[in-house]
Amino acid sequence: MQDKNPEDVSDELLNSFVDHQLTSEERQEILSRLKRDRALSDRVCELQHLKEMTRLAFDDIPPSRLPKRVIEEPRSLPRMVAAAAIFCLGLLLGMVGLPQWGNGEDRNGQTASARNDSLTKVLVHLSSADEAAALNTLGNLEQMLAEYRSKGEPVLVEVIANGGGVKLLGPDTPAIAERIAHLSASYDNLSFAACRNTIEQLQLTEGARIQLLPEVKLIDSGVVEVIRRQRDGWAYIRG
Amino acid sequence: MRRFHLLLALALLMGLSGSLLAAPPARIVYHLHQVKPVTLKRALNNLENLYKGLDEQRPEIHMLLQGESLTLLRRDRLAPEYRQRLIALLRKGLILEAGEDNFHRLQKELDPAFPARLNRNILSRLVELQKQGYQYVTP
Repeated sequence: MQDKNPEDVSDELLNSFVDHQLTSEERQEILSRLKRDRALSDRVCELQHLKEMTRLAFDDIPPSRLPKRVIEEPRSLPRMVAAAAIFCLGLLLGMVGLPQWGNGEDRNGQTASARNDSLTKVLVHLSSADEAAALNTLGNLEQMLAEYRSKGEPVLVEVIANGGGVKLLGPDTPAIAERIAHLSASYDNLSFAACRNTIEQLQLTEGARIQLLPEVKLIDSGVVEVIRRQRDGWAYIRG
Repeated sequence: MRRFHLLLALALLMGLSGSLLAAPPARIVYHLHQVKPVTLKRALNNLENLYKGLDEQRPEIHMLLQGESLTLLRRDRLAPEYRQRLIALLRKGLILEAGEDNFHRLQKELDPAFPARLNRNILSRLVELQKQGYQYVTP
């Protein structure tokens, strides 16, 4: 059988090989030819594939999977009525009971994060050098912190400055500096941060040397922090 | 029994579909905190576009005026065209809100056509509305 043309090996013999019906000597001989003969190997693969496909197509359905009870049982009117009632109930629940389920909000419009998180987190974003507006915001912020403290509700506030806002967090705006010093001393749940990218940019473009107050920490990117905080469920306020 | 289970699953599926179909209103808190010549014009444009674009979602929009931005509603500052546009927005349901101290300080100068809901603290109100699911927009 060795070194013969692959067509010389009959389909019958190969089928017997695939079906494991050859003697061990015959099987060994076929195997040794398969190693050398690519065409013969392809024929065996085809036969193997055909065998698998045939088995899948005509495999018997196990008796236990037949829907005997559906065939045997007559239709039950009470059961159908009950199913219809549950159908309507489900529809009603969907339309009325859970109107904002899809958005993760309850009927009062509260988001899941707001309900589950008793700690209120607030991000105040200073992006312009408008001193009056910033002072107003800091004044309101102090009132808000006092309000939460008097109610005994936990709150965490971070003031992030980028753009023109970083100019307000230095000694050049004494009214704001004074307010920041006072707030930082009064509330340890309040922090101030300035954007390093903005400061480097201002140094490059305007030659400005930005000094920050000791209460202000540096962060790499103000805008990234703003996005990250909002994604984490912080309330956002532009100051 | 299998048919019963199938109907039960279908009922629950329809229920969930119903919940998704009943879209919640678009809730927006619009925050004014600065006074620049273009502030009110930009705000009016934004608000008109929001009502137009979100018409089918029954928008609920609160405009919160912080600090000096309340002076935009002074009788002597409000241009007739802007006044009419703001009145039209109130008719669409726009709600104006302000801090009570600030409002009382400026009350005599404000245009009486624009009643505002008053809050002890405007930042607390901004936080409260966002916790209720309102989306924050500012010009």
